[in-house]
Formats: sequence, structure tokens, C-alpha cells
Amino acid sequence: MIRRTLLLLASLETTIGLLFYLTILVIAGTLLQSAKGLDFAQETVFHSWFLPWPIPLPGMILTGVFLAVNLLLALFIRLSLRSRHTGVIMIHTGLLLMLGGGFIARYSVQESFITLAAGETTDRSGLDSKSSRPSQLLPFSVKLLRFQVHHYPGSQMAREYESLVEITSAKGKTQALIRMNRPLRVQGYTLYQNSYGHNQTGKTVSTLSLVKNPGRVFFYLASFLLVLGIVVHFLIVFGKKRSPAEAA
Amino acid sequence: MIRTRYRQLLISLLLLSSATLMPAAPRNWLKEFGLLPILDEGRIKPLDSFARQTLQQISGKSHLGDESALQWLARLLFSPETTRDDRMFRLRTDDLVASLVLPQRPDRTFTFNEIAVHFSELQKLAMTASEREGGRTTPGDADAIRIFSGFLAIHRLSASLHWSRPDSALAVTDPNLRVRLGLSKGTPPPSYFDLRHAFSHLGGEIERIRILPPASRSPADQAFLSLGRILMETTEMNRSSPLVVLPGGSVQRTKGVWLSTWDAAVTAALADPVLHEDLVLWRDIRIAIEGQNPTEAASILTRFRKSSLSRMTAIGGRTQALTLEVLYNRANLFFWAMILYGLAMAAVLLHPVTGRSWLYISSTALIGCGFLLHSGGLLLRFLITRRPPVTNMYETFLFVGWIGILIAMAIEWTQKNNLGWISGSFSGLLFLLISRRYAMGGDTMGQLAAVLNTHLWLTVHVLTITIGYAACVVGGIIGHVYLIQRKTGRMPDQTLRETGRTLYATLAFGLLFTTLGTLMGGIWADLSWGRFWGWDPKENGALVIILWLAILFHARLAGRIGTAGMAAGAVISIITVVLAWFGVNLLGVGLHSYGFISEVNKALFIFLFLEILFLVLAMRKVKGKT
Repeated sequence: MIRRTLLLLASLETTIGLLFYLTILVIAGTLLQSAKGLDFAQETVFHSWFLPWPIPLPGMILTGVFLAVNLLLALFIRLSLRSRHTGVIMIHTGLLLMLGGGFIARYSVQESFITLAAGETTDRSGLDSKSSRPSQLLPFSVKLLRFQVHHYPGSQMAREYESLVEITSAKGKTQALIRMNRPLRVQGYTLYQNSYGHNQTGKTVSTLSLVKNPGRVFFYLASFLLVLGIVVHFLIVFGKKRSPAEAA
Repeated sequence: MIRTRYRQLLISLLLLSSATLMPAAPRNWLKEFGLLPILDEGRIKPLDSFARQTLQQISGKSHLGDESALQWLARLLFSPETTRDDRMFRLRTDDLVASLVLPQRPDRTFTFNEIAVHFSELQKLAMTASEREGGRTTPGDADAIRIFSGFLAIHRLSASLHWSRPDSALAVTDPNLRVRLGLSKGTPPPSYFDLRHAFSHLGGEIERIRILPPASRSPADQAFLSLGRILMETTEMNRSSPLVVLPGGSVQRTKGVWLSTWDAAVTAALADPVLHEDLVLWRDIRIAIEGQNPTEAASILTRFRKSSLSRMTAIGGRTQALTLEVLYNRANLFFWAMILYGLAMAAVLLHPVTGRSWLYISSTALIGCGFLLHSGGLLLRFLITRRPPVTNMYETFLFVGWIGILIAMAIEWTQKNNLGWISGSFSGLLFLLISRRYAMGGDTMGQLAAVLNTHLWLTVHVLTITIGYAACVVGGIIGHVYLIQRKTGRMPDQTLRETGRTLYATLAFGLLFTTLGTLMGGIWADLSWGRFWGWDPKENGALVIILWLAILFHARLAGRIGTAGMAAGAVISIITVVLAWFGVNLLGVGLHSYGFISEVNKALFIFLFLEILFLVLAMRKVKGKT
């Protein structure tokens, strides 16, 4: 009985069913997002265990857990350690790591914002960009020295925004330039240029996002394994004369 | 139509050869004019491109009757009154025609004068349209905004050389004042340029008169004040004139700053000799063209172009890009590639019917030539913009179409059974056809939004993901071919097996690159924003493609579907690609693209309907067969 259950859980059919369900969730979440905004879609679909409907259908997190179980069992039960499965095993291990990283990220990512005018210093960040909600203490303080927007010549289109900041922590003071696509990493935090605007007194302010994601390493490891696995698998498959379609 | 295109091709080939073989050949003035640099929408481009884009935005075409966009622009600048009755504005909706009480015309084209009569109404419509929320706009709204801003742009452009024209509103009748301004008697009324120059020496005059009590001002003083007021108003009216063709002057405030001719005329007080010289040249060009003196015009234009190019080089501009861009505009390479792919498709479809081998050879040759032109176009774009050829929707079509041909070549190379040429010619034709619709949006080489302005990761991520898209589309086309071959029931099993094998390999390739591209996108996002994944619609779209292909491969592995199921799945994978590509863009419906978006929407629904119909018809016999 247990053996049959395990086989069922590890089966390709379960995989197919879960992938199907995941596809529907992604599509539904995307549609929901365009109608009600990203926060709502994340709360109800992308970051939820159950969908908030009378029938307790699994949300993205629970589906991810199922998929992880299916993958794990498949790795042990179906994908025996044969050389022709090397690539496939790597791909699936990569996917497991990816799911794990996603799970960690879901519960540990902290995203917060700081909004500063030139010359201002802070060691707290707010939970939204208007910093009206409760703030959290940072292990360092950030001073905005200068903020600049560069436009394409003769147009109002921004080519680049940059904030020159001074970071003061226990280790001392450092200066850094934060630009679009060039974030600053300090003690596990990623500081990137989010937007800019004007405060009540009309001064230009720069908004920086702070993200702390302890699951980062999983993603890089997972990506690496996935890419490597794909390459290995293709080498194995196309190294043989017979095509996979016939082999299957 | 085709004949003018043919002439264009010849011209471009001649241009190419004359550029390489006879550099000193005399040019006509229009050619010189088209090569002049202009700063428009944050980019330096030749006037030839500026003319095409401006005309395209208001009329949807790059020609006005028999006249090229450049000839039209020349008339608009040098003799604007001749353009007032050209039907240059093409409205897209009957709603707008009705709201503006314009006459009913099948092509909905109207002249400047016709629109001008209803300008205040148009302004009102455009204002209410731009205040409306994104979701509740109608195609008429977007049309009103487009025509309104287009009308203003044309109005501004046609006034862009007014500073050089004698203006009766500026006529000085007071003899004392005439002496003071250094104007001789009996000459035509002065132009803004003449007066502004004279005024710049009389800066203290206005102050002197202002502090006098009105009663003690002489008639000359009064005339001076009112003239000053007119000049001031004209100055205000012509701020932000669009003809930004002067690459900076020689004094500190004008050095390295692109200026319009009006900017230069206004700042005459700065006594910048270089800008003064520029204005004199532009005035003389106008006079030469109005006086039907093309040789004179050509020689002045050459002088101005030399001076402007050397200044442009000094501030880091790439002048060769201008010549290349004019060549690119004239050669119209993607159009020719499209024609060749179309012919190749005809040959490739006739080949199995007639069994003539010359058809196979000619389809190979046609695709090869089309691919060369296609590659040449992409290469020119790269040389002009100096960035990877995938930074906007238009470019993704060109690039995905190109990759599709490459994949098709690989298939044909290994299989030699027409399959590669069928899918290649079809996808090439399709993508280039679609791209033409997107070229209507204006400048296809426009600058990037700040967030996209990183080269390495943009390149790696977008290139891989578009390769994945291309493979999925080619795989989907092979899926169609498989289902049709199977449906006819007369194909030998060997052929079906070959098609099935190619299908499998192409989809695998697609899964590989879509996955790689998505991973690269995640890494880009993490490096830029500290997160891999944000459930952005574009990301989700790519994820759906990956999930769908993964489902197919697992279902095939489990024996749940056969090759026919795989083929049907490939057809659906085209749908996922199309939805990820367009559907996602449609979700965030923007006001300014509404008119166009609704057209895309309609096309999408028709496409979905046809594909589903195809699947139903193709799969109907499955049960009886297996």
C-alpha cells in the first residue's frame, strides 16, 4: 500500500498533473494581477498555501511543496543512478534547489525602502516607499550625498539615475554610487535605485529599495546545476545515434 | 507600388556603389538635406529618418502620394503654405471624424487646413482623453491624442524657419526708429532674425524707455516698445521648436548643446559667431530653394553639413551612422527579405505537388538570399545603434524571424526533406509581416528606458529567450506540418517519422533556450534589484512556455501522448509563445497605444480561433487511426 502510494507520488502522471495545475495558477495569477494589482495576486495566488475560495484548492506554495515531494521521490525511485540519467538528475536536483530557494525567499525576503533628500541620513527603512508604515532598524546608516538624473539629450527621457551614498557601519565609512542596474550590496542587503521624486518642501528625493534575501545562494547554485544538467543531458542524447523519440 | 520599391532597391544599390566608388560625385540638394543630423526624441538621426517618422506618425505612410517623406518635409520647412492642402493626416477612427465634424472620406485623410478649422474641438477631445483612466479609453481617444500632438508638431515644424522670413507684422514705419535699427528705406519688411540682431545691440534702450512716463515717450519710442513686445511674444511662441539641427555653437552657453534654429535665433544676443553663420546658411538655403535654385541650395547645404558634422564629431557624435541610416532607410532590406521568403514559400509548397527539383533548388536560393538581406538589415541596425538588435518589440520580430531561419537552415542541413524550408520560409514571412505593423509606431531605433540600459545582461537574457521563442515557433510550424502530413494519409511512414523526430529536437531546443533565457533574466533581476523573480507578467509568460513544454516532454516520456499529441502540443506552444509575447503586453493597456492594441487584440483572437479550429480538424480522425 505504502509502496503503491509512493510510486503514485513519484509518477510522471503526478508530475504532469502538478505542472498542469501550476500552469493554470500562473495564468490565473497573471490575469488577477492585471485586474487587481500585484500585491493582491501575490497574497491570493503566488504566495499562498491555499486559494481563498470555498473549496480549499492548493495555492502556489502548496503546489510547490507537492512538486518538491514528487521530484524528490522521482529522484530516488525512478531516476536510478545510471549514467544516461546524469543530466536529468542534475536538472531535477537544480529544480529542487530552486523550489527550496523560492520557499526560503518567500519566508525570509525583507524588502523595505528609504527615501532621502541630499544631505539626509537614516538608519531605518520603511515598509513602503512613502515610509508611513512602521520602520525597521538597519545595521548601518545611509547618508545621501548627491542624487542625479541624466536625460537623453534634448528629451525628458531618463537615461540613468544615480545616488551617491555614504554607508556608516561598525566597520567604518564607505562611499558608493548606486545606479540603475548597479546596486550596492552591504551586509546581506542589496540597495538599489528604486525611483525619485519630490518631498513636501519640493526638494528632490531619491528612493532606494533594500532587499535582504538569504535564499540567493540557492538560486545561483540551482541555475548552475540546471544549465550544466541541460548541457550534459543534450550531450548524452545527441551523442547517441538513436533519437530520444524512438527510445521513449 | 512594387515598381517604386524596385526603383528604391536600384537607388540604394547605386548609392552603395557610388558611396564606395565615387566619393566626390556631386549630390543633389535633397540628398544633402536628408543626410543632415537632427536631435529628435533623444537621438541624433538623419533628417531622412526624421521625415519618415514624422510623416508616418500622422499619415501611417512613409510617402505622401508620389512624394517621398523627405521631399514633403522640405516643402513643410521651406514653403509651408504649399502643404496646407495636402491630405497628410490620416484618422484611424470614424468616431473622431464624426466628433470633429469632418467630411466622410473612405480613407479618412484630411488636410492641415481642414483640421485647423476644428482645432479647438480637437484640443478639447485630446485633453479629456488624456485625463481619462487607462481602462476606460476608447480607440477614438488615442486617435484624438495622436492627431492633436501631430497637428501641433506639423504647426511647429512649418514655423521652424519663420525667423528668416520678412514679416509684415515687424515692418517699421517710424523713420527715426528705422534709423536706430539700421534699416534702410524701401527694403522689404525685416525678419525676426534681422530685428533680433539689431535689438541685441540696443539692450539698454527698452529700460530707458520703460522708466519714462508714457506721455514723454516719442513715437519712435512707442514703436520700439511695441516691436519689442512682438519679438518677445514670437520668442515665447517658438521655444522648443522641433528642428534641432545645430550641434552647438562656440560660446560657453551654447557649446556642445544641440539647438533648434529658433533657439539660435533667440539667443542671437549671445553674439555667437558660429550660430550666426548657421542661421545665415539656413536662411540662404531657404532662399535658394524658394528661388528654385537647386545648385545653389546644394552647395550651401554641403557647407552647412560639413560644419555641423565636424562640430558633431567634436562632441562625440558618430557621423558615419547618419550615412548608414539613410542607406538603411532607402534599401528597405527587410521588405525585400520578406518578398524573397514569400517566393520561397510558394516554391517550397509547389515542390512536393509537382516534384520538380528546380523548385527545391530555387527555394534554397531564395531563402539564402532573403537571409542575406535580413542579416544585412540587422547588421546595419547594429552598426547604427551600437546595441544588440533586441531592445523593442519591432526588433524582437526581426530577430526572432532571423533565428527562425537559422534553425530552419540547421534542420534542412541535416534532413534535406523540405521541412526546414517550409518552416523557415513561413516563420520568416510571418515575422517580417508582423514587424511592419510595429514599424508604424515611429522611431524603431529610439532610446532605451533607464532600466533597460545595461548592455551585457540585456543582451544575454534577451538573446537567449528570443532564441527559445524562435525554436518554439518553428517547432509549432513543424507541428502543423506533421498534423497535415498525417491527415492526408498518403505520406509514407518514413516521412512522418522524420518530421516527428525533427519536431522533438526543435521543441527540446526551444525548452533549453527558454529555460536558459529565463534563468539569465532571473540573474539580471537579482543583480539589478536583489531579487530573482517578481511574478511580473512577462516572467510568468516565459514560465508558462517552460511549464507547457515540460508537460509535453513528460507526457511523451510517460507514453501518454504519441507523436501526434506532441505535434498538437507544439501547435499549442506557439499559442503560449504568442500570449507571452503579445498577451502580456496587452494586459497593461496603455492609453497611447490603445488604437493599435485593440487591433492586435482582434488579430490575437482570430489567431487563437484559427489555431483551435485547425487542431479540432486535424485531430478529428485520431481515434479512428490509433
